[in-house]
Amino acid sequence: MASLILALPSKGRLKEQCEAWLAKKGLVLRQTGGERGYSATLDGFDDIQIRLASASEIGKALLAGDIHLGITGEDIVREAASDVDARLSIEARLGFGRADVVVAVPNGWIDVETMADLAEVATDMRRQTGRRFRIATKFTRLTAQFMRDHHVADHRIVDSAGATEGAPAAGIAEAIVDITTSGATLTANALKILDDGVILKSESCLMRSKLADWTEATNTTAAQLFKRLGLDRL
Amino acid sequence: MNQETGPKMQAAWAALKARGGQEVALPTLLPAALVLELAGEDVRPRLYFASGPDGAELCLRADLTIPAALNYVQNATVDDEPVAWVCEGKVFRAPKAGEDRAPEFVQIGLERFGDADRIEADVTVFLAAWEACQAADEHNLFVRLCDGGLLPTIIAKADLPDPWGSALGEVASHKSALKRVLAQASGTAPSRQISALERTIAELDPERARSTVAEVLTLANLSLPGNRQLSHVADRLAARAKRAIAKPLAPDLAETLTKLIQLNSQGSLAASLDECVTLAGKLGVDLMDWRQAWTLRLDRIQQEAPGALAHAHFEALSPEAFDYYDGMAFDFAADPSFARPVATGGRYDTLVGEISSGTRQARAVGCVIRPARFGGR
Repeated sequence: MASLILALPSKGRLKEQCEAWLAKKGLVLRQTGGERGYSATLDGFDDIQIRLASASEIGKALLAGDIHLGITGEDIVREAASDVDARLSIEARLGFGRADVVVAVPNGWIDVETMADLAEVATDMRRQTGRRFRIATKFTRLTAQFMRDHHVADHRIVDSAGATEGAPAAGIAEAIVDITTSGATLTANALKILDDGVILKSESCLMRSKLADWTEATNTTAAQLFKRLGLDRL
Repeated sequence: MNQETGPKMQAAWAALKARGGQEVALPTLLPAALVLELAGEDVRPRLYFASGPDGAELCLRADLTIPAALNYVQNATVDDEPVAWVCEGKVFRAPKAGEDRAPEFVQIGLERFGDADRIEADVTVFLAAWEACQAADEHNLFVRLCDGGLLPTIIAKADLPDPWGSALGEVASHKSALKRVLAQASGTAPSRQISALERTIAELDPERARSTVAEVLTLANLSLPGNRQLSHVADRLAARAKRAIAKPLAPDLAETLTKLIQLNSQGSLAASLDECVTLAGKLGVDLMDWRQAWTLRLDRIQQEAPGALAHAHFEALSPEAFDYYDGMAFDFAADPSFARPVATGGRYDTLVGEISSGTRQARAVGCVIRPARFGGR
């Protein structure tokens, strides 16, 4: 890794928001190879190699030290590894891509408002049916840790690849852990968020990999970039 | 026999086999959902997952007990068909953060199913584990004995006032839940405010309470999808409200239960067991049969392995992470903290029923030894 590598989201609203954020700081991103290309340049920073990738790939690359800097969601990196803070640092919270990872249950569960209630219901269910309480989610790591922290013992996580909010109605799970911005999708699916059921308030962040190959040159480039971004921290 | 493991493991394996049992090969790949259902989500960070060609989620075994019980369910022709199996092989557990060890290691074990004489089977398994460790030159081991069935028995028989008697009884076999409910019962947990609806529900008979909850859900356009029925919600709402307004458990009862849960005597075994009898007596429970059963176990152990109990103590609650031990349980360790036991075992009479969704039942007791920890490693 001779030059500093910065990875940015390659498509969608997140890409537009990143470009807008950079533009606000006077930095213009120029995609090479057209709209479908996966590399770009940043005006004024010829020594930065820009890679365009999916948010999850950026998270993995930051955690592995394959890139120096990257913009992705905090939820993505926290879900991908348990020792996130040893592998990367969050340099700036960017104020977009906001989403909460939450625990939600059917709104008809008027006896369940808190995680302590959920723990009791889980225990009741196992005692009554011999089966553990099921929680559908794609955030298995975050969910397992949160349930441990709240002493919810008798549960089982059901891996959900998509349409998680439909899992209780489909009989796949009793509760879900999912990402929400406004809560509208949860409401539309007759679900409610528990009072203390917010696992993570996530947003897009500029992150710095601690495991990347940092040299004097890449440190200097990063410092210049951070200064330009108003993040004079290095 | 695994060749990687050296003479100490071979000596331990020979000693284990000398206690009798057919050598069996157990499955390495298991249905992940089954393992998580039985062992709980706490083991998920330690498991290695794999996908089958048909998309089935599998995991590598993290112990020998679950595959042994699964093997029994698949092969036993009748309930409680007596078998004794000795098994050896690698198990796979991801190290915890900061833990310096290989993610795969060899275990050797003895699993017995269907023994009519529970006490004799408990003793046989304990002795097999002990003799295996002795054969591997593991001397001066500390021994921890527990009884996963003790608290559920006491709470079921104790004369505890409602709603606390039923609330504690419902969670008696769940350590963390038991502690949580006891904190509520003794008034040490912060009390919660209850709504007017809850107070109303608490005062109605169950049928009327259910119809009131149904009306509330209809009026508010709330849904109850899935397995949880209206009766569950109404009953729990009532139970929760009753607990919130109930008088705390009398201090002496709460103190006795707390002492039992926390009983972790490093003194003599006999004194610890007698203390259990005394504490249970204060709750109106006669534990003399239980005490007699433990006397028989300990006498038999003492008879066949003098010195095995020289550094032994008794705890009322099993500290084992795999929470399926529901009777006698034990572990041996070179260090009194028991952070790295060389052998673990116990009775798991309900596991076969859980694996088979209640279609098959079998008394079961077993042990495993971790040769990689021999020599204080």
